Amino acid sequence: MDFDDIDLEHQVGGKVYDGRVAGRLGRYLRPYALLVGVGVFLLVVLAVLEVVSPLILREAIDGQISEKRTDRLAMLSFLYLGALGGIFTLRYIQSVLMNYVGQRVMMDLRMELFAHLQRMSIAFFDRNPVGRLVTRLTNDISTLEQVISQGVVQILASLLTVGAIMVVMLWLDWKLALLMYAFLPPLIIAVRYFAWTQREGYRQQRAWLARINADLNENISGMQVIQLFGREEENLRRFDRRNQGLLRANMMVLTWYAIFEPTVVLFGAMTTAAIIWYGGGRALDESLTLGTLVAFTQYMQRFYHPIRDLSDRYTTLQSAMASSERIFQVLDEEEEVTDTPNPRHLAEIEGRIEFRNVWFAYDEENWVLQDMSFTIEPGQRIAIVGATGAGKSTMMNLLNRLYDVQRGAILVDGVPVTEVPQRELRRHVGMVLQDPFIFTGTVEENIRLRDPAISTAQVVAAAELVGASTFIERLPDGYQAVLAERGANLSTGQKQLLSLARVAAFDPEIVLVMDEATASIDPETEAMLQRSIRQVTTGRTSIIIAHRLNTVRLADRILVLQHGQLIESGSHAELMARGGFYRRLFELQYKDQDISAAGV
Amino acid sequence: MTTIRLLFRYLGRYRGRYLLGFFTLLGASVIVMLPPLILGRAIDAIRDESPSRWNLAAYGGVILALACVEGFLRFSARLLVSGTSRKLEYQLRTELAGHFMKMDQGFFLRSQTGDLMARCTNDLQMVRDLMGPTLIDLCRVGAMLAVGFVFLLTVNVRLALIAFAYFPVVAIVISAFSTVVENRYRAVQDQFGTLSTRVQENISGMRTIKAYAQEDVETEGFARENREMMRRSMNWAYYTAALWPLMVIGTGASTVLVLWFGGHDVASGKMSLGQFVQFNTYLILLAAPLMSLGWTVTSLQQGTASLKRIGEVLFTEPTITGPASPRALERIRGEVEFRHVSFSYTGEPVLRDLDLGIPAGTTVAIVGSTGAGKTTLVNLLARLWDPDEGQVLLDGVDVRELPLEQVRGAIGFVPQETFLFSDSLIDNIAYGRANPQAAEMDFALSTSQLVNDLPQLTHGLETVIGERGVTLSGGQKQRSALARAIIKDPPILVLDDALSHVDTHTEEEILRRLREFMATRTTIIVAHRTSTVSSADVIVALEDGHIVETGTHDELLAKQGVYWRLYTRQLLAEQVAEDEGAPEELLDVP
Ligand SMILES: Nc1ncnc2c1ncn2[C@@H]1O[C@H](COP(=O)(O)OP(=O)(O)OP(=O)(O)O)[C@@H](O)[C@H]1O
Ligand SMILES: Nc1ncnc2c1ncn2[C@@H]1O[C@H](COP(=O)(O)OP(=O)(O)OP(=O)(O)O)[C@@H](O)[C@H]1O
Ligand SMILES: [Mg+2]
Repeated sequence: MDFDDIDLEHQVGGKVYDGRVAGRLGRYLRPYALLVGVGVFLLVVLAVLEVVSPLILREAIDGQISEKRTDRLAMLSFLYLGALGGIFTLRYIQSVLMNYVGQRVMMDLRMELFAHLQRMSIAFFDRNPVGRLVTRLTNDISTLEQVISQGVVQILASLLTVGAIMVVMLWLDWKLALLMYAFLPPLIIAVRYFAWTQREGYRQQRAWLARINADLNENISGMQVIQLFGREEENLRRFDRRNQGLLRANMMVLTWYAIFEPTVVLFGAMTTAAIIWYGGGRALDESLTLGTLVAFTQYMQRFYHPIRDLSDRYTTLQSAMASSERIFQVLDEEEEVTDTPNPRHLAEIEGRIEFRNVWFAYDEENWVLQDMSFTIEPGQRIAIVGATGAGKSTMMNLLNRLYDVQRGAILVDGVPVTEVPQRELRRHVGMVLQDPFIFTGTVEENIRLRDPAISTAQVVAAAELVGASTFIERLPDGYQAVLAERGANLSTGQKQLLSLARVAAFDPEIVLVMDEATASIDPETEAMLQRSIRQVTTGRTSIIIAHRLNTVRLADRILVLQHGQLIESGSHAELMARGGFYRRLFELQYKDQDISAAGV
Repeated sequence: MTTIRLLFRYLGRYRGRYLLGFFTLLGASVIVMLPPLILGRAIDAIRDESPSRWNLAAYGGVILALACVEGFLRFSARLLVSGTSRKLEYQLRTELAGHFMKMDQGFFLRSQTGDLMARCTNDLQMVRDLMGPTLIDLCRVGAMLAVGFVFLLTVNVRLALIAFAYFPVVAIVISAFSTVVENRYRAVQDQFGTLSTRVQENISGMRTIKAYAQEDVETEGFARENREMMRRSMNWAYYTAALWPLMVIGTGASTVLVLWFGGHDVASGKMSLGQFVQFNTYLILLAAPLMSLGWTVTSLQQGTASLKRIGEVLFTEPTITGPASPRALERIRGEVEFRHVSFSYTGEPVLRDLDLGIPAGTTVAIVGSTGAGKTTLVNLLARLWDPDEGQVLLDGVDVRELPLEQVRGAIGFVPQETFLFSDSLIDNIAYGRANPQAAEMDFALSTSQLVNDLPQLTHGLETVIGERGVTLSGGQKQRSALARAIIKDPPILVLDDALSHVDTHTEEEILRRLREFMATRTTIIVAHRTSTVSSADVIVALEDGHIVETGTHDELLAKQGVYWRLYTRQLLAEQVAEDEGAPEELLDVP
């Protein structure tokens, strides 16, 4: 991936989302509107209490201590303590409440995003680095927490305060009040300008963070190769470049904020100065009482406090906006492989598979499969052979609808696969992928993939069937042995055996696809495996992709692929008799062995 | 303890900036106090002296000027403190990444990618806050409290002591809270790591999940972790939410105490009313920093919990390192010897007292059943692991005495599982060799037979491949890894099952071209296909952690042992068919 996709990423954000993001984020709060309402209400009560408690104090000083009396001091003290207790309780409740709302919203958002990702097509995952998606689901969502748990309520409260003060000022002296208001538009413009710069900074920050995570993910997963090829320094340099990018973005946000904060201070000072100059002048004319003047200066201080708060929140809000943009961007990604609204169901499958003039390309023009047509009868054992990159795995990915064909159709029992719900189709088409993927967790969980429908007995039976049980039983905890990420504590052959056991456990009704599933398994185990597979596949349609021809030759029919086209098909004997590509391949493979076998 | 060490190491680096930042902030806090004074003076003036408009303007001007100074101080303080903390964050992140690069395979086996990522991002952000505003706040609050206390003492010693009487209580409460809050926050961060791991694994394994239609189960599992995250976060919130109100109570309580005792003192004439009011004013001034202590403590706990998580990684020493005083060989010829090597990953021995000598320039093939320890053996040579007992020697020198770079640099390794980077194909091939010459690139491409695939790739060699090479076919991936090893031009070549996804025809081509390349190098081939290994100078069969057979293809066939068994299995696949009663015609194929 290169560096310029960062710009791409954020352009998209900039154009499409501005303005709508906040509203959309607000929608996630709606289910908790009541709680938020309670939060705001508590805040108002708290404000009152906080005004009241100094009053008690004043009464104690003015009414008691100044008079050198102590008769009501105890009562006032208790009252004060009572107010404190109230403040404590309410504030605690309010804080827990808003934390709860924040956590809930994050949880909802995380669930929605996760579920959405589960629906995305494989092509989407081909394009998006894992680390970037992880960032969306974790770091980006976390940014929202602060805004929701503290921001929303505070913003509402600050707005209320500012509004109230504005009204009071107007009531006290409208001329002076209007003068004060005159400072607001430039302030608002300034705040908006800063917010805009910060938004820009935060956007870059999010983009860099995603790249950092992508880089981390890749480097950590590929550490063995990095070390073997002595790339530590070079890769660290690249990482450092991204890290510097993040630092730059961070510093940009910070610098603007550092300028912004004094600006608000300055505005406050300017209004105070204006009050002194204009209000003071009027006080001299006696058109304004001194009391009002003092009140104004105090209100102005009260006024700028929430404003500063508000602008503080506004910047956190900006960071939340930048994150939400990213999140919504992923949420808005179209599912490329979709289920039709009126799906057809395949309850009972016979297992007839037809490729009808299938054309497919991963990229626009680059046809990987060209006009591929063939039919597999129910119960047939099919083998696909062909040079590397010929398109064998691609064919199977299409059958399973990991991708959709561009032209032509693939039919299972006469029904186009595009009309069957994906998940239902995949339940019928069991597939062992070329690269076995092992999840962190026990052996048993890996075989049944956390599917509760599969019992332990089935798991064990499946492992025995494919010959995986031998090594599993030798593991310290047997089926409960914990496997590391990607099965790092297994040998490659063992991983392949596990993924074979997986398909055996799922026991797909009809179609079994094995893509190079035994490439790293030793011949003895493989021979045993072949036998069990033959047993299992009797009466089921099965497709095996293999390079080793000894696993291929027992198939009912062999499809020979070259450059995305079907060039030969028939049984082993037929193809040998034909003397074409397959025969050449076969002879090549056994040439050496024949010669040396003759030497024995 | 290590956490503190880490903290100070970083803080020490920017001592000056922190100090300066601290004082600037202190200055700003002092200046903040001035405008109200000026304002008061102005109002007094308006009341008593009827000043001219110019006088009023002067008051306003002073206020503006003060605001400018304050603004400037705030600006510098923020850049000094927060700016430095961001620099520290950056440095710490690069340091962490650099540390990963040095770590051994065992470390990565124990850790999870998602969790490590979380430590490098989420945790680091918490630490950044700790090293920035939190730290300064802590100092500021501390300083203000100390100064305030002194002021209070000057007014009335007894009352000052009473006012601060609850302080030990606060200290105890906070420290009791601290550990709880920190532990709970630690639990939150750990769960965040789990969540990251879960997501990371889910996305990496998406093909498998889709192929088995396990999306719902995955979502359910994620929902569980998500709820756990919520539970832990709330558990933490229950405590931290109390912290701030608690400080309110604390300050309030001291006010009541002062009110009570002070009130009686005033009433009984032990203290003047002016003193009392003064005392109270100071107390109110102190209330704000005290209350902010609640936030600071929370953030402090978050920061330390995260710092600990980072420290855990940073203080894990790599077990595989170059020697302190390496003896570099001038040139590596490529003689390899395993001498009494024993090795186990988890106590269960994988290799037992294994001996194998490979003279420079020969080709050795290793065969053995799945899980026999073949990969382990070659990994020991590249020092991905170190043997428990015995030695691995390169040109007669223990690999542990050679510089790590020299050992790994001497080996062209094609791992059993291909890992490619999301970079262009050409960058992937030139991975271990900066700026290869065109001829070398051509050689690598033709030997690995990648030349034939280039037309199929949209942008040829410049095609950017997906993460782990997902946009290449299995064989293309493997052959890219082969090309990557070849272009490194190493004296030793290790092919660990490196052609398993390559079709026979291409394999034959590759082996033919490799032969010349291998003639001058030591080559270790691990394979299951006898077609791949039969032409090796020596074939060794590995079983039960040691070598059970050694010899050429013909010798081993004559022996009718392990190798012979493997060989016949493959050659005579019809055996299988026979067992099953397969059609006759299959049996008479050569
Ligand atoms: N996800 C993808 N995105 C883009 N191109 C791809 C993708 N997957 C495969 N290709 C390209 O499509 C072509 C066919 O790949 P495919 O995996 O089907 O080959 P194959 O016949 O299975 O090969 P092998 O025997 O090496 O596994 C290759 O040229 C490959 O580079
Ligand atoms: N990191 C690890 N931690 C614990 N056990 C491991 C680890 N790596 C491998 N093993 C175990 O050590 C044994 C040998 O593994 P190794 O990968 O060397 O086998 P192999 O001979 O290469 O097998 P294959 O032919 O399947 O590649 C296996 O039983 C495996 O389960
Ligand atoms: Mg291996």
